[in-house]
Formats: sequence, structure tokens, C-alpha cells
Amino acid sequence: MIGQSLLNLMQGFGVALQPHNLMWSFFGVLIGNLIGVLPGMGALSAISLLLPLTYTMHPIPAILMLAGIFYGSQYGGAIGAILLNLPCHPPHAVTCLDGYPMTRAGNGGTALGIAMISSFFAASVGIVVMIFASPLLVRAAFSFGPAELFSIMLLGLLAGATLSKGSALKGVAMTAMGLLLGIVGTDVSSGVMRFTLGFPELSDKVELVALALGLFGVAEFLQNVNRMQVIGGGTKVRLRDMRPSAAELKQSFLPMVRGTLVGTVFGAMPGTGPTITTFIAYAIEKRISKNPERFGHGALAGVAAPEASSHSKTQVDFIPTMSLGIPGDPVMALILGALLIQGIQPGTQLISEHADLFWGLIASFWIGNVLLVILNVPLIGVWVKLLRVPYRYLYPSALFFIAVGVYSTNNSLFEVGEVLVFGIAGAIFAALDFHVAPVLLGYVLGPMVEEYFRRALLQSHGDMMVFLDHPISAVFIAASALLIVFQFFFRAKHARGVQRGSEAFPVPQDAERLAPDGRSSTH
Amino acid sequence: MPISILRRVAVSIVLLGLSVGLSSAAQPSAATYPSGVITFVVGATPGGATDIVARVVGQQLSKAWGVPVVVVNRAGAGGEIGAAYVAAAKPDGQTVLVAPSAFGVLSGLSNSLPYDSLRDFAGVSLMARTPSFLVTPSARGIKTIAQLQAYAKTKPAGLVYGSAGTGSTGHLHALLVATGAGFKGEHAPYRGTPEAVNDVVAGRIDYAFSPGPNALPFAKDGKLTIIATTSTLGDTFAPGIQTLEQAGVKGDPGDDWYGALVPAKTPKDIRIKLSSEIAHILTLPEVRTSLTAIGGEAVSSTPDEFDAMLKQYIANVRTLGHTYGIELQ
Repeated sequence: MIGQSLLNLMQGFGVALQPHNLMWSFFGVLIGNLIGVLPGMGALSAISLLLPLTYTMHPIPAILMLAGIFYGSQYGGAIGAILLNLPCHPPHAVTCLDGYPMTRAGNGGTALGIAMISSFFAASVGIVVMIFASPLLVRAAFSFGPAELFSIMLLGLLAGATLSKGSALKGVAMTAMGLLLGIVGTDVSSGVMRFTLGFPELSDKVELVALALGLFGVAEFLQNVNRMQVIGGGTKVRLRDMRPSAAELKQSFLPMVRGTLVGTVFGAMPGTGPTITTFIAYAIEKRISKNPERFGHGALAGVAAPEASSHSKTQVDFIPTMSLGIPGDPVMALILGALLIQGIQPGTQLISEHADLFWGLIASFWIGNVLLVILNVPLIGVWVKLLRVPYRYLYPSALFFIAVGVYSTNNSLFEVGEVLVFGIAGAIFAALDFHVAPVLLGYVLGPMVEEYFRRALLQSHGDMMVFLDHPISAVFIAASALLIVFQFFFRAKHARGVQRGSEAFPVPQDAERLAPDGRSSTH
Repeated sequence: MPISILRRVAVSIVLLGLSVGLSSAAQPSAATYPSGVITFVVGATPGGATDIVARVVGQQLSKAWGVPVVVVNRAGAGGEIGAAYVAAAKPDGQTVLVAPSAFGVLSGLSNSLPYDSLRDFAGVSLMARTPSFLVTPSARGIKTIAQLQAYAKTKPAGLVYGSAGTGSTGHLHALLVATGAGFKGEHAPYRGTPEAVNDVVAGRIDYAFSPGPNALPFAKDGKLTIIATTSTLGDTFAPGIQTLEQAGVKGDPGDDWYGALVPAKTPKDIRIKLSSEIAHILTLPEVRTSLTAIGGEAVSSTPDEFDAMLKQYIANVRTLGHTYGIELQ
């Protein structure tokens, strides 16, 4: 079996390395990378714009190009997230949490370097998994039913509450806000419209891109209106700052591996997007870290793990998409559509009937990732220098791109209004010292938790025990219960510790607002 | 003085006459059609079947007429946003709505649409029909609806069927099977057909209706059994399967379809011109290949035929909605 896969892979490399195919792959990867840097304008818009190009092309270079745009945009997305607190691609929202503070401290180049390396590593692992474990993955996809998915998402929601910096109550409040925002739209299980306030544009949901860009990017800009400093300015950016040092590499190796594992595991579950994996990877890192208080202020693991999980999840996600026709992502749905236009039906037959397409595609994934690293590593310096552009030019331009990007998600000005509303809301939250990352978590996980819960009960005809009857589900429910118990226990211990006068858990001052030269920027 | 007033009046009359003449010349007609970029509006996200039909036909139309044909996706509210956009567009044939059968279902089941599907739109042409297939887990060995009925008798709690959501055509077909065969059917809505089919394969739900591309690969692999189809068109994809009508299920709205519509006031000769070009495009082999890939067959019609079909479809769905109490907001 493995021998056959290797043989097919060799053939795939032969196809992918043909000059014609390679050229289109490179074109796609380049466009994807550039698109990825532009906020909001994701691979979806780029692919739908370039789709007509593919009609007259042979299917193989067409799909290679489109796939290149897809994962190219993910490399680019990290750049905005780290340097400008702009998650150009929603899964990068978590990367903002530690990447942006690193930039403010002058280490933007290092953060970018770590992000690139983690992405490449995770993508490579994801590809290997895809090749050798694909039948296993397909079978695994069937064993995850609504009960299992509910329990996993529930654990994710509970674990992700640790993302909050500062007050736990505020974190819970933000998660609840996210849950409420996630409810907006048409309920799948009953067809009823909830909280749409009469806007048909809201009847599908609040747009994730608008939410992420508003809460993270626009809110940040609004707050900085009266604080026009150049980020990272003052310190001379040396070549050394742009490459992660050997020590930093070693530090981020294990988080990278763990993040990859999380992404791969979630890759087996069809219909769960990469955003969830980034939250979970971050939460895991924070939990098992020796200094969890560093998270949110520039911890390397907080950049390495989410990037790794997002990329490995994306790679592994191709399998259920290709073989089951369940796209994990709207972009994958579009790529499937491109295949259909060419007359190729995805499904279990794709691998056997169009072997050269399938294996050529897999080989091109790896080649594309190599091309991306070659493209991006030298460019890190260029991107970091971009920050030296004075705020008064940088921010309005970024806002312009945000508006354009968000408009392009659905050709509608309503989304631009949405991003403005969320930007203002985010600025208000930040001024009140609420951290907004849990909003995104609640928004992404909440509707899924509800949908799977109701579907599981529907399928069991109302029997609540279904969550404990299924073994996988029972395990995760038990883990969730343990997590809650552990939280109470830990808080009780902490309370007792404080009573005794000793700080069991030193709560640091919020160091985010430190200017790069160490002075605290007072309000 | 009087001469200059006379001159002024004369100039005004000439100008008035010119403006009237020019505005009537600006009336769209088949002779000047198309007069620039044609926009195909799809009320769904790119990559779906409607989008594919629009792109495939649009590409050929662009080649045939030498004008750019742009596909614009305005997803939201089950297609309502895209449809509302076209209803309000200029009736000159430059803006065309590519609508799936969900457009008709929405009109039949919803009371709060911002447009009236029959009054605000005029049909151009039908473009494709895609049959749906009733699938069950093959492990159960059920091969006909009669056997499904027998299986249901062994389950006092009834059967659970999946669909792509409340008010989707899959929901309607499955509901009719349950009521027609006389067993209790519990509706489990999903976000899309692939997820529902996945759960049928895993045996978590008992049956569902699915278009060809999602169901046929599993059927070939032996994981699903196809036991019925919505029309004789299904024979092309799964030969020998009985249709719902043959199995005694009455009142089914039929296959899913994809058609083109324009704003109501568009002149008839423009509609006829577009319709005949689309009919010609639908005979091209590459178009037929793409349509087969999405599980359908190219079917064309005249504007009047399409109008009549739509009216009938909406009436059917409305009756179903009243009988079974399905209402969409």
C-alpha cells in the first residue's frame, strides 16, 4: 500500500514538475501570497476572479493554480496579523494575540520567520499524512457523528476560555458575546431567523471576515488615532532581527509539532474550519507552558502553534474534500466547483479515475510550499520595513484595503457597514479592558455546538444518553467535566494562597501598551 | 423682443422633440441587444451548482456574442438577495438572474419576500434539470420504497430523514415519501447535502434525497442504495430505479431545475433572442459535459414555456406548504 502510494507520488512529482504546470503553480502561489496580505480579500475573491481563466486550460494546471492561490493566501495572511494586528484571513486572528505584541517590541521579523517555518513544517507533515493516511482519514470522517463533534467542540469552547488575558469573568463575558453573535442568522435545525433585525443580509450569519477585521484591525486603528507612534520605530531594524535565532527556533520546535498534531487531528473532521484549530492549539500551548503569563505579550509558542495547526489542517482537509465532496471551507467549495466545470466529479472515484490530477495536486502542494518559503523569507525584511511608513499614511491605506476586501466577500456594502460596527464595538471593548479574542471563539464554536447537539438528539429520538453511549463522545465529555472541576479546584487554591498573603500566580500589569523604547504610553 | 421669444419657443420645441426622440431610441430592443457587459447574478456562493451553470453558459454566451459576461455572486437569504437585486435592475436584458428551483420554493413557501416572483420577473429559459435520488444505507438491504415502508413499521419512533435545510427540495421530497408511504418521518436539517449524505452512509439517519454527484459515487462503492428518483431523467445516472410517481408518491414538485430570468419589464423580443441563444449553447458538447458533472441534463425552453412552468411549480409548492404547514420566513 505504502509502496503504491510512493509510486503514485513519484508520478505526481513528474506531473507537477512539468514546466507548464510548474509555471501555473508558481503564478497561483504568487497571486495567493499577495492576496493574502490584503486584508479581507481572501482566496475566495481571487479564485472567483481567476476562475474564467481556467475554462480554457487543461484541468491539471488549472487546479494547480487555484490550489496555489489557496494556500499561498494563508502564508500571506500571517504577515498582516503579526505586523498590523490585521487578521487578513480569519484563522490568523489567534496569531495576532502574540504576533502583534512581538512587533511592538521590535521583534516582528522574528515572529514572521517563526510563522513561515511553522507553516512550512506543518504543511509538509500534513502532506505526508494526506498521502499515507488518506483511507484512514476517510474512514475516520465517518466515525465522527454529531454526538462526537458536539463533545469535541464543547471541550474546545471550555478550553478556549483560557485564552482571556486578565479577568476570567470578562473572558467568559466575551465568549458569551461571541456565542450571541454566532446565533445571528437562520437556524439550521428549525429554519427560524434569529436576531436578524430585519436585515436579509444577516439571515445567513454575521460575516466572519467582517467580525475578525473589525474587532482586531479596525478597533486597533480607532484606538491609535491619538497615539501616532511608529511601531518598531526608534530601534534600528537589523538583519539579525529578521531571522529567528537558533535558540528561538529550538523554543518554538515543540509548539510547532504540537500545533501540527492538533491541525492534523482536526483535519479528519469534515466541516470544521481551520479557525477552531488555531484556538485549540493556542489554548493547549498556554495550558502546558511553564510561563503562561507570557502569552498575549509576545510568546513564540503563541505564534508557532496556531500557524502550524492552521496549515496542517488545511492540507489534511483536502482529503475529505476530494473524496467525500464535503468542502471544509468556502474556498475548497469553489475549487470543487472548478473541477465540476471541467467535468471532473470529486468523490471516491477521483483518486482512481484521475490519478494524475490527484497525485500531481499533492506533489504540487509540497512544491508550492517550497516556492512560498523561497518567496517569503527574503521578503520579511521588506514587510517589516513597511512598518516604518508613518501611521498617518499606513493606517488609512490599511483601512481602505479592509473596506475593499470586506466588500469583496459578498459584493455588498452591508459587510463594510458590519466591519465598521464591529470596529467601534472592539474599540469600546478594548477601552473597557475586555479582550476580544474569545468573541471569535464563541462565534465560531457556538453555532456548531448547538447544531450538533440538536442533531444528535434528533438522531437519537431525544435520548440524552447518546452523548455518553458513544465512546469518543464520552471521553470528551469526561474531559470537559474534568476541566470544569479543575478550574474550581485551582481557583479555590489560588484564593487560599492569596489569603495567606503569597502570590500563587503573579498577575502581571498589562504590558501591551509599552512603547518600544520602554516608556509606558499613558492614556 | 417678440422675435427672441419666438426663437426661444422654437428652440425649446426642437429640444423637446429631440429629447423625446432620443429617449424612445433609448428603449431597449432586440436590435441593439446586447449593448455591453451582461451580468449573470447568482444568489449563492461561488462553486455551487447554480454558479457552475451560470459560468458555463455565460462563458459560451460571451464567445457567441462577443460581449463580456460577468458572473456576480450575491449570496444570502437562500437566494433572496440576488433575486431582489435583479428585480430592481434595469429591464434591458443586461442583468440576468440564474436561479435554481430553490427560487420557486422560496416563492411558494415564504410570505415576506421583497419581490413577487411572478410579477417582478419574466422567464427567459430553462437551462438544466437535475434529478434527485433517494438514498439509504446499503447495510439495511432496502431496495424499494415499499421495503422502506416495511422497515419503518419495525421502528415505532419513526424514521429520521436528512436534507439540505428546512424548505429545501430535498426536504419536500423526503416529507412526501414519509406521508405517502404512511410512516412517521422526523426531519433532520443539515447545512448542505454532502453532510446529510455522509450521515446516511454512516447509518446515523435513515434516508435522504440527494443530487447525483453527492450520491452516485457512494452508490458505486456500495455504501448507499439508491431506491427512487424524482423523474425519468434519473435513469441516465442510475438505470432501472423507479420514479417517485411510479412508487405511488403523489404531489412531488419534481426535479431540481436551473433557469434564467430577467426583470419583468424586459421587452419580449430581447427575451426571445437570449432564449434562443441559450438553447443553442445547451447543445454544445462541452456544456453538456459540465452539466452532467453536476448531475443534470441540459434542457431548454422558450420564455413562455418557462413562465408557465415556474407558475405551476410555485403553485405546487404552495399547496405542499399549506398541506404540511411548512413556512419559510
